[in-house]
Amino acid sequence: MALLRVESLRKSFGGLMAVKDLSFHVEPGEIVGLIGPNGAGKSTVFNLIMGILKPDRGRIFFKEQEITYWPTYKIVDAGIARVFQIAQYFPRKTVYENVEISAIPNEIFIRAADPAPKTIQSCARTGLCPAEHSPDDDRCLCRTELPGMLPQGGLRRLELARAIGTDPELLLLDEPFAGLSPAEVDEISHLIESLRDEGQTIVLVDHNMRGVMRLVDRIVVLCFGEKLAEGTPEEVARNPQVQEAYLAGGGF
Amino acid sequence: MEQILVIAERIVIYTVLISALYALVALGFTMIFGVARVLNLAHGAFLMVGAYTAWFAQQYLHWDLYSAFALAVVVCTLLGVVLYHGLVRHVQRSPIVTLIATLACALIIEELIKIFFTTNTQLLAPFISGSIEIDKTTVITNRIVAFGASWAAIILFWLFVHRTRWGKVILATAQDQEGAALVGIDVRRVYTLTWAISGALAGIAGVFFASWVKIDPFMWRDPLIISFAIVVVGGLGSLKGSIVAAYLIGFLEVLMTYSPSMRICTEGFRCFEFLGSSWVGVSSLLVLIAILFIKPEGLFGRAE
Amino acid sequence: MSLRAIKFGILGITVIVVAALGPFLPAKWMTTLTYAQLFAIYAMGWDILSGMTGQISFGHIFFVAVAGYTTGLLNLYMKWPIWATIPLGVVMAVVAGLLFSVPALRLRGPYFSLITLILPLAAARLVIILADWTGGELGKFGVAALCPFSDFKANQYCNYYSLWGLMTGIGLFLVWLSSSRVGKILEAIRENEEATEAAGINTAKYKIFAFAVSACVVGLGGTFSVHINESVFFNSLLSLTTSIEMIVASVIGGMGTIVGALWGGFLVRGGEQVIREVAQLKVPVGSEGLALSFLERWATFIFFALLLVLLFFARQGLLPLLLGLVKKREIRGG
Repeated sequence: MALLRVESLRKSFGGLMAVKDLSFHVEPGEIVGLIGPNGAGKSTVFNLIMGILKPDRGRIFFKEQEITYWPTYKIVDAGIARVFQIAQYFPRKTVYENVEISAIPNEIFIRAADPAPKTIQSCARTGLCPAEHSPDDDRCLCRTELPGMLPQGGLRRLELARAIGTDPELLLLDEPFAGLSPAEVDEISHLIESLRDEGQTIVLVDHNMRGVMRLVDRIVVLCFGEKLAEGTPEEVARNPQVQEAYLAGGGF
Repeated sequence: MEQILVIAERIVIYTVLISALYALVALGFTMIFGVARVLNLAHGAFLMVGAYTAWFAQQYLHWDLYSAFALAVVVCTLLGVVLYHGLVRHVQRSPIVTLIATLACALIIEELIKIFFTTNTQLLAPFISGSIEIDKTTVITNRIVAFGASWAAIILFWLFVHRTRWGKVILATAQDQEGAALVGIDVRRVYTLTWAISGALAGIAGVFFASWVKIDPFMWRDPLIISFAIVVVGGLGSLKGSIVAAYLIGFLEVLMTYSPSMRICTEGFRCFEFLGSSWVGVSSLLVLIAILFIKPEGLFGRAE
Repeated sequence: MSLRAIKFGILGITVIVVAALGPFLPAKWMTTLTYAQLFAIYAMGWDILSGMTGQISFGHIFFVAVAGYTTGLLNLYMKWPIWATIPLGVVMAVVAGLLFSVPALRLRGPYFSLITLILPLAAARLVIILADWTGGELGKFGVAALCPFSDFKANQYCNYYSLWGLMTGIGLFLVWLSSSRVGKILEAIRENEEATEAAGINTAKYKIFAFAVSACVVGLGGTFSVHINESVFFNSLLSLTTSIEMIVASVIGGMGTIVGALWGGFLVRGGEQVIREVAQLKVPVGSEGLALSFLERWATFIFFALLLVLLFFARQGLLPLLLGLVKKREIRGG
């Protein structure tokens, strides 16, 4: 059973067809790369899956349940979490408080469990907090620092911590390596791999194929909103259409 | 049957007359929103300043009405520029703060007028007094003057925007601020001009609006609601849209206030009027509430 | 010391001071502080919605009016006792809040605020059309009093402390709510609604909840005000000026802090009275002295001007400013 199934998705904005008849699926436990040059519609696909946009046509299934028109929070509750391309955080709350929001349940009136253990776990899992004090220590920097103080890699970890705080079965990562230094790319790469090793299913979006090749099990190539090719990294790299699209677009 | 025709004729004539003024009232508001993306909640207050300036010049300085009118327009133009440079320019990055700030300004102006002129109602002398009969309908002559002046102002405005160089610059900036800056347009000067014109239009509208309603420190609220309703219905930055919307809302307004009213009473001898003069302003409010419930997302067309 | 403890502390000190001051106040100031407490309730009610979620409501006085007119008119015409009409008034305010917020909260920031401006203006129209019942712009007298005493002084004390009880109860509840996990989510919505949705929160639900709580609080205040005045009075129930003064109070004290709105409320109402007192004085300048009576009419103006100044220079309000000095936190940025 496919964890995520996207069927004939279509979305246009005014005259521009951002996503055209796109179908693909994601099996549990794999890392799928959604690759394509800028403007290929990759972020739009994520927005459609997460319910931020509604498709003109097509359907989306998660664990065989149709989620096409669900509101975002319901989709998150069902088990999909998304890391934004441009980090979305709460600028005037501390790093710890940022992550805490995921651990707070979506209920007003019931008595809820303390969000602290879950928050600390998410922070620790993503290596978000510096090592001198662990996140459950009040002296931990995470409790006083604002997200604006974090380097780009730190922001990515923050996004990841907030995402895994919702206990997702599927993680959508939107350009996780954008703006990172090579050292940070390696770190985040390892983090993603370790998440996969724990059983997390991941869909990765990026326009840099080389960086992503080693990480993913399968690639879906998008070009102008359409699926150009699909397969293992090696198969896709050998695909002449892909090569043409990429050479024409400026390359690997 | 005869009665209905008379009433219908009255409604049609009044609609034609008042809608022109409504269009003029909304014009300045639409302009600032379309060009500078600012919802100027002090717009109604500009009208009020125009009305009070003309009244003050007439009452205390004993000027003739035409000079008073000119003074009102000048004062309001300056007010627009001062509000932009003194306040809006510094806060316009945050739409919410701009809203609070312009609303605060409106209330400050209201307070100042209460302080200097008390809350008493004042009357502005008409340009031409008396009334005139059009077929079977009596129309106050000054209102026809208002109608003529409104259309003159609207047409002049249209000519300015579409035929003069500065007008086209304003249009360009309205469509794309960054693009305009890139081709060397001084956006700040464009905004200053926009606010000045908006002030001037408000001043003109204020003097004539005062001939339809009474002058008091609270008179800024209705024009603001009317402007708001017209922008919502007519769409952003569309002059034609504003005029059509103005006629729609003007028609509803006249229908509600000049239709024969029905007195509905309960056993306790308490009555209320259904339609009639106490229903002033209800049309704009209903329009806004209706749009809120029918199509809240599409409130301003061009999504921000 | 956590922020929550500080807020409770400030609340506690304030209510104790207000309670203790009572017997020592001259009659005029007792009236002023009674109404200041009422206004502080309005400000706190505004703050739990607009300060915390960032959805700025301009027309919040509307809910004061709904509750006030309901309780006043039911009491006046149906002769129902106030312990029945007051809850009904509050229920009506909450219902109105829910009915309005569900469609309105789909609007983005400034457009939402604009629509809230319509509410009191529409209500004012309705009140005038139904003047035979509501008394129109003049209002109607003869509503049952909150306090049953015939002695003026006893009545005054009763009003003062009744409102004190209401203010304290509401203050405690709102400070608790704002520091609870619900409060954290409301603030998150203000900071970044998209991120909050992405964290699995149904933001619409929380915004509507905040709206209902807010309408309930200001509605309660409204019902008390009607019974203290023994009338439904247009200028106190539908004043746009008061509606905006709620914003002034909250901005002065620091939006979203609740206790800031509490203090802001006292500052605004108390400040206006101070200005009026000063206006009675004469400055010993020249032969006759300079009469300051002109200040009396400038009281409200001064506070609106202050709002403008604050929007420019100290948008976060006085309370956060003071907290920043007192706490040695290494918070930079934001």
